Amino acid sequence: MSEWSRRNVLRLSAAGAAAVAVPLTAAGVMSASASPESRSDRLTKSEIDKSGTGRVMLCVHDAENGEVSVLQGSREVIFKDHKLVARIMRAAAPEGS
Amino acid sequence: MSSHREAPETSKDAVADNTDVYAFVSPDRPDTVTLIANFIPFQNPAGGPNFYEFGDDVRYRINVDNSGDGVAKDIVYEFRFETTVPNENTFLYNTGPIESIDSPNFNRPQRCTVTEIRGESSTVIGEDLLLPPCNVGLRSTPNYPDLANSAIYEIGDGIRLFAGQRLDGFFVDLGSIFDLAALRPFQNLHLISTPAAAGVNGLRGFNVHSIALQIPISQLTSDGSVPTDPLADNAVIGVYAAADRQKGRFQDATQSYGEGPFTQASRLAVPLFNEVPVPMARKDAWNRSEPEQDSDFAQLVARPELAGLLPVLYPDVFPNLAAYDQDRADLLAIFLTGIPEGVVPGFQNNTGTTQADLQRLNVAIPPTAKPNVNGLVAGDAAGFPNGRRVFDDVVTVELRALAGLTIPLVDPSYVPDEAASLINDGTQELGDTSYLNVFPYLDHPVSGYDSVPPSVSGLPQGR
Repeated sequence: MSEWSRRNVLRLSAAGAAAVAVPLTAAGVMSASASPESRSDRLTKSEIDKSGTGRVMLCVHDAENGEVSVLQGSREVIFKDHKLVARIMRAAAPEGS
Repeated sequence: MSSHREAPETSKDAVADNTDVYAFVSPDRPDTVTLIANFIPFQNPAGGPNFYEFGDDVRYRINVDNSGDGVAKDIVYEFRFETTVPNENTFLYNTGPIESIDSPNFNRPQRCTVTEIRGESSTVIGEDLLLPPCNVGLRSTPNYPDLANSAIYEIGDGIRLFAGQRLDGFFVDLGSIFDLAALRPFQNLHLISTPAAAGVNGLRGFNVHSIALQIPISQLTSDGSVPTDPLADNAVIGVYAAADRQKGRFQDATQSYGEGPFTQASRLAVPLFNEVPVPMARKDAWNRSEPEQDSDFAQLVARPELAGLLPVLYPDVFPNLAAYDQDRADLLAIFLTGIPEGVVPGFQNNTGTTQADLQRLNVAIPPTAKPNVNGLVAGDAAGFPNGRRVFDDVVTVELRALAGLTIPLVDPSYVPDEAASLINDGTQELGDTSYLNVFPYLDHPVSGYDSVPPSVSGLPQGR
């Protein structure tokens, strides 16, 4: 896996939720998550500062293959995480579906 | 045309739509090469209050191959722009006459940063360079030539830069070409015949935005030399221009920004490559691909659609072309590899076997004192398709090549149809474009106040 660990991506997703390409909000992630968010899941201030602008965009082009593309600054990191993709897709699903 | 609105996606993204690329040994400074990339087509000079400008969210590039491998990554010049609005309380582009490029009356100043990339080495060679405003009119932009000329900069090690609005120097009868290639003045011979009439330059009076560099030849060649032997391997450079956008874009009511790496939205080298041989369904993909991947499109050049259409649209005019059933090795060379040694005596602009759409310039060919706008096929080796000068009639050259005039270069047994040496789109003789004798060679733009809208003669009859 790249420098972007799954844990970091999850944290960044919550911190920069308003900015992600997928309409992913902290509340949305929470509601789609099987377990409640704990304090240790949150980014620290220094971690947010390290992430540059504190925002990323996530793209899931093909949910079935579990691939996530993370865009930040002039970089793109692509990794596979079926669990994360499942959470994103559940959060993105229309209400009642 | 030559790459104005040539693909479905770029036609909807004007600031990233590159329209023409020029590469030539500078006539007044023959130890330098001038490279020009134009963007933002069909600018109505009066199009305010938000006059035309480069995209702050676009990365522009001029790319150079000097190693003869057809891969234009040896030297890359990157251009980024940043626009400000000093006075947020007015709708005006300018609040008074703009008499200098740093005038406080100019309410939309744009600045340029230039980065030169050589392999892994990246150097900012120009920063915070103010661009001239668009040519609004005599009250807003008086003394426009002086204003624009004050935005010619010396950057890097002897490089000149100009970025800003220019008169579009390209000329073509768009109305005739896109009306089923009914080329004026030959439309009386067309399948759907009308009386012969003079050509009409569809770009007359429109402006574009140019990025022009004038670079010492010694900085462009692979070994730092200034070649004098046209047959030397290091005498040829390949050039293309591109515009990139970031992969991700976000916009809501309060903010708009991009994230992620830049990815190519538009590219251009030889005029009309994407415009003509590439079918509409593949034009966007071509723009996004790299030139060195152009073998994927080579068959479209070897068997060009337009060469097949000419004998149909002009019955009995192109019988030899209609009968020719070989791959067009002449067009493959002109468009994709450059012309190898031995085809034109004393000349070559070949960059190896990699098929890539590049503007190939042999820098050892000196400028011609009395240029022929038909370039190499007319015996003027300093002109297109040896690079491209601002005034070259590339439409005529390419129409004649497509019509079979250049087949004998590679197949001496072929006899071109008589029409192949006559065909043109009737705009060369109009002389309604103008150029400068000095850098940046493309003329100052038409002013908004002085511009005259096109004729209404083509309005619907029901009006």
